[in-house]
Amino acid sequence: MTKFYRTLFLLCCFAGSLTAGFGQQAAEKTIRGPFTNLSFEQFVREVETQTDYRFFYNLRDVDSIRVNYEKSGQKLPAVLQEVLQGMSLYYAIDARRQVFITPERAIRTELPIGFFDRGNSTGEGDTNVVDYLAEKEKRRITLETRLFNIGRATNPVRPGNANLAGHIRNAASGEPVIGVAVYIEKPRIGVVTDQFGYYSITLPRGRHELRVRSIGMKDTKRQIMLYSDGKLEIEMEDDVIALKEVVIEAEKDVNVSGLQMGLERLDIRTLRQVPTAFGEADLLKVVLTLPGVKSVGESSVGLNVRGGSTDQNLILYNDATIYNPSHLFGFFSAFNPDMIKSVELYKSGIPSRYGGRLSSVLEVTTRDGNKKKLSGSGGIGVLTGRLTLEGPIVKEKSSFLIGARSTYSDWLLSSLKNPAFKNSRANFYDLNAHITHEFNEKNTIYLTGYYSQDEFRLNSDTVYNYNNMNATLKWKHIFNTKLYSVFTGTTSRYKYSVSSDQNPVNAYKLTFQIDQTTFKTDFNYYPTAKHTIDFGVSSNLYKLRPGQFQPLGGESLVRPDVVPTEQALESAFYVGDRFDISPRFSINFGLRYSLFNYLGPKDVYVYPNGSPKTEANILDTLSYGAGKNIKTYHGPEYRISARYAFTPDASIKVSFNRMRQYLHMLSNTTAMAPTDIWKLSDPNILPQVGDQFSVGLYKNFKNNTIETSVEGYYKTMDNVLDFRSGATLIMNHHPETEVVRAEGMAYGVEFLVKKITGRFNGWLSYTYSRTFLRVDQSVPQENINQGEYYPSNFDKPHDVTWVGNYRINRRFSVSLNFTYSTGRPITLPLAKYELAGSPRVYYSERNQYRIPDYYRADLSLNIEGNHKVKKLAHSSWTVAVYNLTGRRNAYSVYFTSLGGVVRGYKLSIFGQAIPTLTYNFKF
Amino acid sequence: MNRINFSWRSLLLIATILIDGCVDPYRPPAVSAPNTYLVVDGFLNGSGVSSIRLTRTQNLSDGRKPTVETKATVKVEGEKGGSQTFVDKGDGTYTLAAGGLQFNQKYRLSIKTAAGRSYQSDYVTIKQTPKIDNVSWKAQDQGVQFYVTTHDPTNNTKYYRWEYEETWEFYSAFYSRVEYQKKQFVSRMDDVNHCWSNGKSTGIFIGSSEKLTQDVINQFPLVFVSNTSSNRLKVRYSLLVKQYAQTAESFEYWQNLRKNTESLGSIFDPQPFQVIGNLHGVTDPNEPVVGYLSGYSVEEKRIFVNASELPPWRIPSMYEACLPDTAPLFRTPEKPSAADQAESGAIPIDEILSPMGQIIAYRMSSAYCVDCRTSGTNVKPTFW
Repeated sequence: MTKFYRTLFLLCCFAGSLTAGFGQQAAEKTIRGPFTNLSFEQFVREVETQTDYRFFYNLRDVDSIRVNYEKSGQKLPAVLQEVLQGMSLYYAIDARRQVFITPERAIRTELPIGFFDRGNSTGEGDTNVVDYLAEKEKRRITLETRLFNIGRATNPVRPGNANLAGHIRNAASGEPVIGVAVYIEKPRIGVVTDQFGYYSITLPRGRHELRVRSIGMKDTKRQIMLYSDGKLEIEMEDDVIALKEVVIEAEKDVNVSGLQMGLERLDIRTLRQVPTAFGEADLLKVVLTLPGVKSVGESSVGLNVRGGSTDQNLILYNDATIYNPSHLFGFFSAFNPDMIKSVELYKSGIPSRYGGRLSSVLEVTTRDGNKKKLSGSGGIGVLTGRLTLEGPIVKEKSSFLIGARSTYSDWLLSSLKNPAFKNSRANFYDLNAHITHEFNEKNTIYLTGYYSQDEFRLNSDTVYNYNNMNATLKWKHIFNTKLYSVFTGTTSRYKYSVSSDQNPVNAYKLTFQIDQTTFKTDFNYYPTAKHTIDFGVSSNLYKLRPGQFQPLGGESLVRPDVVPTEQALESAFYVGDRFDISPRFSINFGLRYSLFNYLGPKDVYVYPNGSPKTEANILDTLSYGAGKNIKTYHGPEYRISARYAFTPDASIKVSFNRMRQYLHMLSNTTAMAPTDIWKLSDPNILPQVGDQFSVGLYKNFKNNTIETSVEGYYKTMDNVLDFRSGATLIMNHHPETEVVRAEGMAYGVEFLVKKITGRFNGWLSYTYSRTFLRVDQSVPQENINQGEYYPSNFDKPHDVTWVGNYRINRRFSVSLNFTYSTGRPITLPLAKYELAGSPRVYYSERNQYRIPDYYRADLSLNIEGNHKVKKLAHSSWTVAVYNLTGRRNAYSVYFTSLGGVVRGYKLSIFGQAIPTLTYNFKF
Repeated sequence: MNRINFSWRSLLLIATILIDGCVDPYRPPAVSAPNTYLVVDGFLNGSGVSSIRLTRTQNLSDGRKPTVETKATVKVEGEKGGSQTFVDKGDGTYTLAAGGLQFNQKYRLSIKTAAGRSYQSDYVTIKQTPKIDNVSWKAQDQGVQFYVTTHDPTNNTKYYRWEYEETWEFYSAFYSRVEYQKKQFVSRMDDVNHCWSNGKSTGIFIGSSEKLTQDVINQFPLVFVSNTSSNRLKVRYSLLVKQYAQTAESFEYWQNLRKNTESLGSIFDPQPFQVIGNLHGVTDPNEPVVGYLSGYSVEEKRIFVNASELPPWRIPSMYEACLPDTAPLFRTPEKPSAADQAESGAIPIDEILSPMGQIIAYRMSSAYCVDCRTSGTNVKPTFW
C-alpha cells in the first residue's frame, strides 16, 4: 500500500512538472526572434539551426499552426509554451535536448519510478491485456472528444467564416469514402464528400462539433476550434454489424437536404445483396431495379432511363466511356464487382459537368485499393470466376488494385453431347488495373486501365468478337482548401468483328471500331459558405471506322468494302454554382455550352430539301479534305435545380435540364446488340436535343431511417433516330437513308420508399411512365403509323420493384426481390395470306400490342464465415434462387411460317427457377 | 450479306443449356384486321406463261383456305403503250400466254376487281435470268444439303431468288396383287406399290453477289433433306431448282418478307413491320395491297440423287408400323370377313390359299400401308 501511495505521489509530481515544462533540464540557450507567420515546420527548422535542440512531431498534428512570436532572447520552453498555447499540443524535452511535440498530453521523457517493478503494481494505468475492440473504441473516442484547432489561433476568435477541407478515408484501407455527409448542427451547414472523398466546408469561425456520417460506416464527429482556413483529415471505421444493438443512424438525410435530385447512388454493399441469375453481383441488374430504369427484356443490358433509348446513357468507368457494358449477350455486366466502389445514376438534374447523352449518366467508380496492407478477394460462381488483389506500393501513399474475371462457359459447352452446343463457343474475360499515388498532400494521381473481350460462335461458322479498351489518367491538385482541380485524360476504344470462313469463296471479316480520346479539366471552388462553384472545359475527339468488310483467305471473292472513317471533335465548357440562399432554400445554376465539329476527310452526300433521303435522291457529293470542318453544331445546355425545405425532414425540389447528343447508336433490333453501330452527327443527321423538367417531394420518417419520395418528370426529345422498316445498317455507306427523324415524348411519376439502415432494409418503388415517338415528315410514305405518336419499344407503363434484405444474425442474411412490369409493346400479325407457296403474316402498325406482363421473384441467402479476427481468409457463400416461381416470362413473342404453317411462339429466357451457389473469399 | 445481319435466334441455344430457356406456343389476344386486303402472287414471265393469283388476307384464326378473288380484270400495260389482258381461269388464277413481254422493257399490272375497285403496280423491268451453272449436293451427318451455283458473265443480275420442287420415288409396305372392286376381289391391274411424291419450297431463298467483285453465287445452300424424318432419300430423290433474277427493290422486298416471317426470334432480331410492296390501291390510295410484282424469265435445273450414292444410312421407309392382317373369306367369331374389312377401308394384298389351292383368306392392311397413292402418285413423272 505504501508503495502505491508513493508511486501515485511521484506520478502527480511528475505530471505537474510536465505542465510546467522541462526547462530546468535544458541549457540556457535562448532563441532569437521574432517569427512571423511561419509554418510550424519552418519554425522548427529555425530553432534547430539556432540551437542543438532536435524536434520530433507528427506533421499532421501541427499542420494548421502558424507561428507568430514577437519576442527575442527567450528560452525554448517559454517560446514553446506560448506558441503551443491553446492548441492542445504539449511539449517535452529530455536530457539529450530532444523536443517531443504531442497532442493531448506531454510524453514522459523518463521511465516512471517502479517501472521495473511491474509484477506487483496495482496502479490504474496497469492494464496488461487490452481488448482489441476496446482499444479501437478508445482511439475513436479520443479522436471524437479531442479538440482540433484549425488554422492560426487568434484570441479572441475573429468573426466571420473560414474554410475547412480534407479527406474522409476508411480507417482500415485508407481508401477515400464517397458521399459522406460532413456537417454541423447549428447553424445547419453541410457538405457531401466528392468522388475523391474530399470535402470543403465553410463555417463560422469558432467552436463546432463536426459530424461525419455515411451509410455503412460508423458515425463519427470531431470537436473543432476553427480559427482560419485549415485542413482536417478524418478516418472512418467500417460499421461492424453488432448483434445486440440495433443502431438507429440518424441524419442520413441527403435525399432531403441535398440539392441533387434524380440521383441514385448504390454502393457495393447494396449491389452484393441483390440476387442475380448467375450468383455474381451485377451492377447493371441492380441499376435496373431502380425507379425510372427499364430494359426491353431479361438479360438485356441496354438501359432505358425515363423513356430514353439505350444509346442515351453515358456510362463512365472512372471517367472513360464504356460503349458496350455487357458480357455474354448481356447475362453479365462488364464490371467486375470486386473492383467497384460505387455507382451513381443521374436521371434528372444532371450536373453541368456531364454532357453528351440525353437521358442519364451512369458513373462507375472503382475502389482505390488498400493503402495499408496487401489483400485480395475473389469468387467462384456457376459460370464465372474472379480474383482481385490490392495493396500498398508505398505505404499510405500509393496503392494498386488489379482484378481479372473470366468464364468457363466454353468448357461447359464443349462437354455437352449435342453437336449444336459442341459447335458453339462463348467466352469472355475482363482485366482491370488501378493505381493511386499521392505525391504529397496536394497532388494525387489515379491511373486506371480496363480491357474486356468477348468471343462467341453459335452453332455456325460465324465468329463474333468484341472488346472494350479504356485507360484513364487523373491528376488531382489542391490549390488551397477552397480550390482544387482535376485534370483527366481518357481513351476509350470499342471494336467488334464478325467473321466467317466456311465457304472459302464468301469468307469475310467485318470490323467496326470507335475511338474516343478525352481531355478535361474540372475545378471545384468553395468561395463562401453559400456558394459552391464548379467549372471546367472538356474536349472529345471521336474517330470511327464504321465498317470494313474484307475477304478472308486467298480464295475469297469478297470485294473489300470500307465505309470511310469519320471523325469529330466535341468540346464543351461549363460552370455551375450552388447557391445556398438560406438553410431552407438553395439553387443550382448550371450552364454547359457544347460545340461539335464534324471533321474531314469525308465525302458527304447532299439530298434535296423536303424529299426523303434515299439513295435514289442523292443530289451531289461534296468532298472535304483531312481536318476540314464539315459541319458545326453548337448550343447551350441549361441545368437548373432548386430545393426548398419545409422542415428538416421534408423538401421539394425542381429541376430543368437540357442535353445535347452528337453520337448516335444505329440499331433496328429491339435490344442492344454488340453489332450495333455508332454514328456521329453529320450534315444529314442532326444532334439529338432533350429537355427534361422534373419535380420531386422528399420526406423522411423515423429519424431519417425511412426515406420517401415522389418524383415526376416530363421530357421531350428532338431528332431521335428511328428506322425505316427493314433498314440495313451494317456496311451502309449512307446510313441517313435508313433512318428517320423522330420526336420523342416521355412522362412519368416515380414513388419510392426506402429503408437503408437496420437489420431490415431495402426499397419499394412504383413507377408509372409512358414514352412515345412520332415520325411525321413531309413525305407520307416515310411516316410510321401515319405520323401519329406510337409507344416506343420500352414503353412499360407500370413497374413495381421490391428489394428487401433481412439480417438474421451476424452470419446469415436473406434477400428477397420482386419485380413486376407491364409487357413491352410489340407489333402483332393481324392477318395471314399465301405468297410464294407459303402462308405469311400481315403485321399491325408499329407497337400497337403488348407481350404478357412480366413478374419475377428472387431469393438469396448469404452465409458469412466465422468472424474470427485472425484467419487466413474470410469467406462467404451465397445460395440464390433466381426466378423463384419459375414463371416463363415472355422475352419476346414471334410468329414463324415454317413448313407452311404460321405459328406464334413465346420465347422465355428463364424457363424455370435457377438455383446458384457462389463462393466468395477475401484475404 | 444477309447472313451478316445479326440473327440472334441461336441465343436460344445458349439460353437452353445455360439457363434452361424455352419456347412455348403463344396465341395472341384476339386481334383481327379491320378488312381483308388483296394479295397479288405471281410474276411477269419474260420467256413463258405468266400467271397471277389473286387472293384475300384472312384472320389468323381462320382455318379455311384463303378466299380467291375471281372475276377480276387483270391487264399488263407497257410503259411504251400497249395492253394485254390475262385470262381468268376461274380459280383466282389469271394467265397470260408466252411471248407478249419483251426483256428490258417496263410493264405494270392493272387490276380491277368484280367489286369495282382498281389496283396498280409500279412499272417493272423484265429481267433475263442467267442459267444455273449447277445444282450440287453434299452428304452431311444428318442428311443431304443441296446447293445452287450460278453466275452472270455480264455482271448484271446480282440479285437472285430460287424456288424448288422436290420429287422422290418410294414403295409402299406391301405389293398388292388383288383389288376389291364392286364387292368382288379381282386381280389388280395397276401398280400401287411404287409411287412418286413431290413437294414445293415454302421458304424464301434469296442470294446476292452485290458484295463480290464478280456476279457469282457459289454453292448457295438451298434445301436440306433430313435422313431421319422422311423417306425422301430412301430410293431416289430429284430436285428441280428454279432461278429468278431480281431487282434490288424486289430483293429487298423478299428479304424483308423473310425477316418478318422466318427469322424473328429473339429481341436481337429486327422488329417485324409492315412490308410494303409495289402495288397500290387506285380507288383508295391508303388501302394496302400485299405482294410484289416482278418481271423475269425462269431458269431451271434438275438433279437426281440415288440411294446408292449416299452413305449407308438407315433411312426410314415411313411404313415401319405396317403389318398385314389375315382376313378370312368368311366371317368368324373373332374376325370380320375380308369383304367386310374391304368395305370399311382395308386394302387386300394377296390371297392365302389352302393346301388344296383354295382361297381361304386375304392378307390385308390399311390403305396407307398398301396404296402408295395415299402419299403420292403412281404415274411416273416424265423426267424420271
